[in-house]
Amino acid sequence: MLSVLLVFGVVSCRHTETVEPQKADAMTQKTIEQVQQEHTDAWMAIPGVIGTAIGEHNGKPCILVLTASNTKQARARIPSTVDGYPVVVQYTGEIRALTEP
Amino acid sequence: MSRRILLRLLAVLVVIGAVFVCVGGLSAQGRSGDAFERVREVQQRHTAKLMAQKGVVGTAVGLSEGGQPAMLVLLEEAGVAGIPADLDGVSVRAIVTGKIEALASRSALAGKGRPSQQKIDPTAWFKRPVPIGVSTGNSRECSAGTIACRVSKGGTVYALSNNHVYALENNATAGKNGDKVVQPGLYDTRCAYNPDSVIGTLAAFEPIEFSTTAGNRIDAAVAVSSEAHLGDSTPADGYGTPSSQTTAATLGMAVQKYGRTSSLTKGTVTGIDAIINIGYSSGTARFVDQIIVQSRSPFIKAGDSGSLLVTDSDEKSPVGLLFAGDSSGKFAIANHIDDVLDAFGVTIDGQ
Repeated sequence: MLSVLLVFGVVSCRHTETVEPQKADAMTQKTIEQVQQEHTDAWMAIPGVIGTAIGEHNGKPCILVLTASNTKQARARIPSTVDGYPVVVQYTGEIRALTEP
Repeated sequence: MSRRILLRLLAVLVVIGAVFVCVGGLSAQGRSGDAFERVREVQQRHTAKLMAQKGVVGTAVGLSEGGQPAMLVLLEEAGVAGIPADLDGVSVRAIVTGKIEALASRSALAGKGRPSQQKIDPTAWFKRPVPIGVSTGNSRECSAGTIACRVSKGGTVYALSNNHVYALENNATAGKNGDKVVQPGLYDTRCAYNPDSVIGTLAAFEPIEFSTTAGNRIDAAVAVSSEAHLGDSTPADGYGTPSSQTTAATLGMAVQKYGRTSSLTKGTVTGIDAIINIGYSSGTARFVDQIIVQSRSPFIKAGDSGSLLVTDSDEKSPVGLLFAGDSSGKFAIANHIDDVLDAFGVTIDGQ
């Protein structure tokens, strides 16, 4: 199923239309979601990294890498650009389900 | 606060003050102070339980109609059932103080430290049908989250909230003999359960897989309710009635929510397609395709889980179901509302 979707250059995500690949980079055919999904497992294996997302940086789509600790070390290990897309490491702290107490 | 409400509040305080003056006077005349001390003990022991009851707004120490030391139970309106005639040998006298004062008195007497200017307290018991965006929970757990909204399918209406609010992180019973859900959640009644708080029965929940390789998409549960128990709008200080038409989150979208702890707050969608580990009491669960909302001031706090995320526009289109955040509350996570609605085959009751 996934491979079928990839053949058509679409990921299983409804927001594809909102985040188009950076056309300025002629070298890449990948969408930002594809790049995110390719690297997420490896990045989330880095101590302190809790997630990734698609966000905006200086008005352009970017890949966010979210951390709860060791942010400096994560920045050192994660490139600032992957396949033409900017990658921004952002500290958020632990994210928890929010019932009281 | 309006002058009218202030005047009514003052009137109630004067009444309560008069009772205390009366008590003091009688003590000075030689009536045993021990009797009042005993009333105070009984009051402290039973206040939380009494105040969990529908229509009870507070308690006080005073006199019975016969002039004996008694515990006063302050009522929203006459005819509140289930007030005992005596508690542990102390006589109980019910006094109707009225409804508008009730909210202020209740907050003050409940010791939540909220100023009386704050007219609406989403942690309080609300008259049925209850608004959306207020305190709720499972009747078997002393906790509190938020009612997202009213949803329906084929003429049956449901209260929507998170799995971790209604379904105890997969440990609840759903179906015909499912767990009861209450308004307010038991955390807001000092863990006291009152059958009058029930607004529905847990119908279904989406199990959460507690694993850092899982692909969870939603943290959601629905409870069968009724239009007599559940309305479709927030309290008056909220955004009102959401649209029944959902819309997809986009980067930069202005959004808002109304929840049990922080009421109405506004933020911006700053991330989509989020793949993120969320901490629960049962462990860590990885979620995919989530929405990130950020704000300069806290957008979400403990107890706001279950809040509906809607656009900050005239349409108030539902976008997400909030369920998690960081400790500062400036960073919140929501499921896509369409994923939630599709999972249960329901639509939002809105305008």
